[in-house]
Amino acid sequence: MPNRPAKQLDAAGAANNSPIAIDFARIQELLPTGLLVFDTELVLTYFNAKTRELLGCVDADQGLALEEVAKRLVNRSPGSMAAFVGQMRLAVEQSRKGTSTNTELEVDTAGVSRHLQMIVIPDGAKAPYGALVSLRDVTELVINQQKMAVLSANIGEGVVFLDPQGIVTDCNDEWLQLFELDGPIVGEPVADVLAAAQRIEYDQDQEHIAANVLAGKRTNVYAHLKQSNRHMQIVVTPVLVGGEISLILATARDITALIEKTIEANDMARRAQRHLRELSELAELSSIIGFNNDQTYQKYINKTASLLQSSGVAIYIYRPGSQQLVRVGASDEHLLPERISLVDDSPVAKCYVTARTVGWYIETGNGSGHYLAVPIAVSSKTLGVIVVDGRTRPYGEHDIRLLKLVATRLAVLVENINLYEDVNARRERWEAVFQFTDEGIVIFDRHSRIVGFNPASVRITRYSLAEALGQPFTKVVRPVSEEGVDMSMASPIRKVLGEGAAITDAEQLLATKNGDQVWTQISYSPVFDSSGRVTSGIAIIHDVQKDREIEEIKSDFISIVSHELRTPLTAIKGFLSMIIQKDFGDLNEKQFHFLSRVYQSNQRMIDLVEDILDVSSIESGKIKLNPQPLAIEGLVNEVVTELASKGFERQIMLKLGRRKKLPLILADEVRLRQVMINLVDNAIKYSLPNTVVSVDLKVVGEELVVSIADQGVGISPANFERLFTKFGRVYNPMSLQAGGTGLGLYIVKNLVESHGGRIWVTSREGKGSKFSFSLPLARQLPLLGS
Amino acid sequence: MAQIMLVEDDAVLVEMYAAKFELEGHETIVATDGEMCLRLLETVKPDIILLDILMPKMNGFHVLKEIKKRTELRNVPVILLTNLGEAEVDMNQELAHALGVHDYLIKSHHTPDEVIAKVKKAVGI
Repeated sequence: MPNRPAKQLDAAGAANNSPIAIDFARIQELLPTGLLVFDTELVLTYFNAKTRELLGCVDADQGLALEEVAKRLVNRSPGSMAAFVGQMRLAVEQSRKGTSTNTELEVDTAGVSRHLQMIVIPDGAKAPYGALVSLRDVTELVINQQKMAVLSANIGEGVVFLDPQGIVTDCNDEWLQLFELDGPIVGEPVADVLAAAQRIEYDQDQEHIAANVLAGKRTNVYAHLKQSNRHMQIVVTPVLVGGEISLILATARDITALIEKTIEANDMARRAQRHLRELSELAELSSIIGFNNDQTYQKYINKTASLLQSSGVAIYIYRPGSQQLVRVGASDEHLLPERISLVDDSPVAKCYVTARTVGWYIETGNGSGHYLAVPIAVSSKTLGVIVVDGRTRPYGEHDIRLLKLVATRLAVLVENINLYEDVNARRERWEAVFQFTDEGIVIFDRHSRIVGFNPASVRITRYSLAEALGQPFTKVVRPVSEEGVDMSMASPIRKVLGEGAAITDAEQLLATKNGDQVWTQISYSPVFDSSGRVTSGIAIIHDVQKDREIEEIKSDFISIVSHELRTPLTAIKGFLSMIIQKDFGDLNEKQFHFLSRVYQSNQRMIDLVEDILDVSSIESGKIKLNPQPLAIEGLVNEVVTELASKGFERQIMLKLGRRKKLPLILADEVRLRQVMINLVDNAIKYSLPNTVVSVDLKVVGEELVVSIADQGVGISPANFERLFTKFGRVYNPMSLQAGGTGLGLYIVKNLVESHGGRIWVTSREGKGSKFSFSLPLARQLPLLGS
Repeated sequence: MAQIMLVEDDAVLVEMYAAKFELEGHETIVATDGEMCLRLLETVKPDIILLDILMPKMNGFHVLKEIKKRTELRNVPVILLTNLGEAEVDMNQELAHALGVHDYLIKSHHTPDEVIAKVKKAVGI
């Protein structure tokens, strides 16, 4: 075939001006291919127009020998033209021997660089042949090829070219690297190459892929390289030329990171969703309140079962004192016992005792499965245990976290329930006290309105609960004077609410609803809020009417009995005194002595009755002092004078310490005399013969101190306290002959204290005792109204 | 020698005081209750009256008030002679003095001797 046009060209060139030859000539001139014809002598006989452009041939070149032409061409375009011309000469030489050559060369022609495909074929029928040189400008093609090469090298994706049979025609390094292929793979079926190198999983059948591609469709394939666990996206593109597949391009990129990110994202989304559900369930748990404990626990159990996807849930609470964990709630499927002793070798007990999460597994039997126990604890105090069980799947970190969260909420609930039960029990106890006590309990608010009124209050005031509630305190608890005058203003309720003062046992006469009067003792206590403000108050009313009546009866009884005793004692005293004074005739010595003894004994009984009456009036508060400014010296003088003879009988001297003038004291004269007589008489009684009893008076600060000292047997300090108690006589060798009622010092102490004074004793055993008492000075008293 | 009216409901005490007064040479007029006392005083005018407080029919204070109402008896000294308790004594003494009593004696505190000494002093012999 290549020979034929040359012949025709040759023929055309020979047949000048023939219309067909002209047509050939024009065609040859218009050909995009450069043509040069050398004859057997290697003389350039023809070149077409394209040759001028490609090699720089000029008209003058025609008819020149190859050598000459070559020289001229190189002269015209120095540089790479020399190499090209050299190559052309070689090829022409070859063609003279009948060999065709096909060469591709780069050549610069008049500063323009081109890639030329040079095909040289022998021309002529037999050797030596001429040469027909065809030049095709393939610059664009080469550039495109270079572009493709750069592209495939730098694309970052694996690229492979296949022929329509799937045989590799080209591939880049990236492809080899992506699929970890060792050597060149050109000429081999791509599927086999890949299958040999990798365990590959495609997202679709290979036949399906092939069918798709052969149908001319661009096909997207995902492949998982199992060994290296990488993911590839392969795009297979058939290149169609004229409806036929001429080649197939496949590109591959590593999408492992993408896939991982996607998986991660999906995973995160899934986890987020789960967390959301868990959070909402936990939130629901937190909102569970109420004091129906069984129901509340059941709600917890249901939620926990759903949260941990566990069929068995149980809540154990520790019962103090029992050393046991008691199940307070459980789902139906729960299999653990109702009570677990702390000393049992049970994981639940262990969980409670160690306050740590415990997980275990039971291999066989009805209760087989995984168990998890978490302590229910609030601020380091463990209250119980929550157990989940019956799950075939083991419990993981997340489950533990969840169960702990449940336990935390449960702890608050249990603590609340405990507190509630505690408060409730206390409330019930107080309620019982409130209802059944004999003391009237009245609770009033900040505005002194009654808000609480117990049955005893109803009994005391005669107002019903309904009448009392909401009323001002003093309208119901109505203080009156003995004359029935309203004394509301005297109620200390303002002080209680205003100053937060507590008042104990204030004696108060109250007027009841039906007009009776009742003596009460009322204690008031303010109630504070956490910031120390008084919010309300409580009054406790003790009905002392009965006590008072009993006291009166007792007092009357003592008084009457004493009276009735006094009359016969008076008669005995009177008759005896007359007999002893021998008003009715002489007595012998024995008669006189014994009757004197009878007289003394009778006198002791009279003294005892007097003392009992005094004690009675002191204790019933009937004793009324009439304190007046008083000069004590005169009174002391009188007492000493009065008792001097008694002292003389016993050979005891009474000595009165002399002082300069003393200030007036404030005292009831009669009672002070009683005190002095008692103390001086005692001193005489307990003195040893031939000793002195001294009475001293001195001012100490704002008080006058009176001391009566004897030189008797003394008193042990251990007995000082006892001395002043009722019948608290201290027995010593003197007391038997001293006589006395055992009430004297008790009365003295009470009288001194009623005067606002004190009494005390100092003593040394065997040396004597000193009784001292103090009395307020008159000037100390403020004037009335000041 | 004085005429003493003893107003006392207890027979033993009457006998005791009367014995002493007689021994000392005084005349004793005895009334065993308040009403009897006032009745007797309509006919006699003693030198001194010893008056108990707790008595049947009319107590000593009433009697004392009645006596003090009578002008002819106003100058007759009255000594209250009682066995009331200490506490009552305080109260009663004030009342007694307000009613113009001469003295106030607690029976068990005094022997008949001491009583007669008070009587003698009161009537000025």
